[in-house]
Amino acid sequence: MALKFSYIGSKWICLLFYLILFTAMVPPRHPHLTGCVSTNLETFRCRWNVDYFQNLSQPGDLRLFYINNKPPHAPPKEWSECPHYSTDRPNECFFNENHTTVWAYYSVQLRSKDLAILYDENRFNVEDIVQPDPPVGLNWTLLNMSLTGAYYDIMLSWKPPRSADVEMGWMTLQYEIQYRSVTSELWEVVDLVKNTQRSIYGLQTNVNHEVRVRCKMHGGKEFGEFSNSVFVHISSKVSTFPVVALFIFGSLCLVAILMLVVISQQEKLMVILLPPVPGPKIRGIDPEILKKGKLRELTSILGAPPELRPELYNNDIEEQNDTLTDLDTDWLMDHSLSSNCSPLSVGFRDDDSGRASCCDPDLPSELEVSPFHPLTPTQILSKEPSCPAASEQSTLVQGSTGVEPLFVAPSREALYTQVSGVRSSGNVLLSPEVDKTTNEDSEKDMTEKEKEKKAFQLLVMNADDGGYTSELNAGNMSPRSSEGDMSERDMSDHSKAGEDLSSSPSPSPYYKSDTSSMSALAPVPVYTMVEGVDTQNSLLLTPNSTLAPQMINQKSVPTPDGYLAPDLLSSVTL
Amino acid sequence: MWFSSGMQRAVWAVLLWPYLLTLCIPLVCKEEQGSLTRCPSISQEKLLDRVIQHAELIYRVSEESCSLFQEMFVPFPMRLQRNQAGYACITKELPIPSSKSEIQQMSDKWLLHSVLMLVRSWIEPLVYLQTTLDLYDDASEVLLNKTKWVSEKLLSLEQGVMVLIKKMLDEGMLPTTYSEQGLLHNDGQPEMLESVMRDYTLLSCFKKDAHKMETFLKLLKCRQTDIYNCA
Repeated sequence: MALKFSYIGSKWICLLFYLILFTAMVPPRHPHLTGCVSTNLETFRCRWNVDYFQNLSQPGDLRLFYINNKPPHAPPKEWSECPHYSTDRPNECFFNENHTTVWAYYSVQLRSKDLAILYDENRFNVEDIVQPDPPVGLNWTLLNMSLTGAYYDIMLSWKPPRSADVEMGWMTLQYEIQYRSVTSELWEVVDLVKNTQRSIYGLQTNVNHEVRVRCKMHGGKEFGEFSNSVFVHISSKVSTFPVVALFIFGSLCLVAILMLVVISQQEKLMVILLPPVPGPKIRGIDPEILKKGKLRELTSILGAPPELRPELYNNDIEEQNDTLTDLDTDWLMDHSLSSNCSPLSVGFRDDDSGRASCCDPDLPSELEVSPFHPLTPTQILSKEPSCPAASEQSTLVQGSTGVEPLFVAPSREALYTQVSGVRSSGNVLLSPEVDKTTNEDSEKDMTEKEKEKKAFQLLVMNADDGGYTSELNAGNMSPRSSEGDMSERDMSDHSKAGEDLSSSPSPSPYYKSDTSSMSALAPVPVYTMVEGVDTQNSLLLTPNSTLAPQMINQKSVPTPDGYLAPDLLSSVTL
Repeated sequence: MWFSSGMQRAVWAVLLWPYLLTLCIPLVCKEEQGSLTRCPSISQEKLLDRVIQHAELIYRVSEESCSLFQEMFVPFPMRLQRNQAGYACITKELPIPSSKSEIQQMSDKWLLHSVLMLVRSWIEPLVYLQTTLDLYDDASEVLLNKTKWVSEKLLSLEQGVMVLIKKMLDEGMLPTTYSEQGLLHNDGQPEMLESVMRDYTLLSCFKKDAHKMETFLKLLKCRQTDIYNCA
């Protein structure tokens, strides 16, 4: 702070000092040369100033001498006096063409009348002291106007000064343009040009502009005087304000429309932008198993021969709708279990989005169904008239024609188990699941509920009744499920009688199978496929030996797109 | 004036005869069969324009170099006396008129020859100037580059003027010869200020002569296009 004050204070003191010095204490300055100037490189004039020596202002009191191309120390007799003291203005000496040598240097001296006192002297070359006259004939024309009418361009043109001999090439001039709006103090400077015209861009309408030009010699140092200013003014009626408002309004409208579009089509846009990712899904398998990693269950399902798993390889990608599940449950389930057309399982519904299109209807696989089950819809209807008719059926038997039709209801989440035997009552004994690995209790709860609903039963009807055999594949087989247990316990009693059953024909339907399949019952369940029912109402099973090795590495099986192939899954089995 | 006198012409002829004896440089291609030079043929107008362009540039760059040098090396009190030795420009011996009226009376031939003389008389001094500038401790790159550029352009200007002479005047090629003037002896180690002033004088004189060259050539061009206005 103190420093600041001292600095300011010293500045003021200095200023005061100089002021006093120059006004009072310094003696008046003697006459001096103010400068020698040439306008056209052919003549020049020298001027001097008489400040306070008014007694010397008379013409002839001061004399000018010059010497040309000779050293200034030459004796005075070699010096020449001014050829012409100007008459139109005092204190000026004019050198005409005869006394002007361009590329020679001049020494000029200002002396008193009696040559005794030398007041001032100057040395120069004529080409160095050129200051051309201002250009003349300043004129402008309109080039174009902007779209909004707020700005315009002009072409400025002028002529070189008459004194400068430009045509001959004696002098080469460069021009500088300056312009400003009348209200502003700052001049805009345009770069030097050699031509006598120049365009000026971006002048505002309804504003008065002032333009002026000056020139200098090419390679010279000093500019001449400015020309007379010319005023440029163009008025336009268009005001800029509504244009800006219009733009803002238009952009806001556009934004609003875009927002409306986005909001109304949000779902569609979401589908387009973020296409649904198919979740883990294998038809016929509970997605809960896939999600929660019940691999053993999974492998037991997928380890079955491919013919037993028609749902997995169904070419029909469409979802099973509720009507289908209704149908399944209705005639598959025992009437003691449920007689209404409730859906088999809520859990069986495929909730993930692994479908080709949410809106595509489920196509009935009429072609597959028709050769085999011409009567089944009516049979189903006759059996359970209160339930809706089947709209979709998939066959278990694919290759066996001419055989009594088997009807197998597809159910994605259905698990497979092995037929261990057939009772006389007609129930088929199924072997229970060997291993059940559950990770969480909640899973068990879920599956419990599902199992309750997923009662299964394999009904083998008498051929007299119409001759169809159905094989039911339901959900998880668990010793704990009540309904399943009922039938299971019945069947397990006869598990050991499977062997007997295989060979002995009986009036009650039974199944035939190779001994190899029976032997594989205990440690690893071997599955076989019911090919058909013969005339005696006995089940025809495909031989297992050919199927077993093919079970796991079944690569020729067509896999629906997007679904995990069972063979891949089986490769990750424990 | 003295041009008209026959004596002066005789003196001129005597001075110029060494030029005629030495060999010439083939520059014009189209008129010489089997020439090894590969310059393309160019019209006279274009050549003159280019020569004028050269001269303009040389003058501008020399003016810039002079100012640069003055700012860098010449102490302020000495600046007023920069033309102290101006009378001793090395080319002052050449019989070149200095007033417009005199110049207007010169013929094309004399204009061209004057230009050529000027150009040739400055080739060697500029080379010398380059060497002295390199001796300076803090000569800026800009100044050195400018002087180098000027001496190169001067050589090409010389060639252009020679071709122009051949085209316009249909004369034989004048040989290049070094200047006979030996004003630039470097005797020992001069004092710094002296050498500075000497170089400064050199630059100013060269600037002046460059302006002369430019003016002569422009007058020549004017005469080519419109002889009535220019004379």
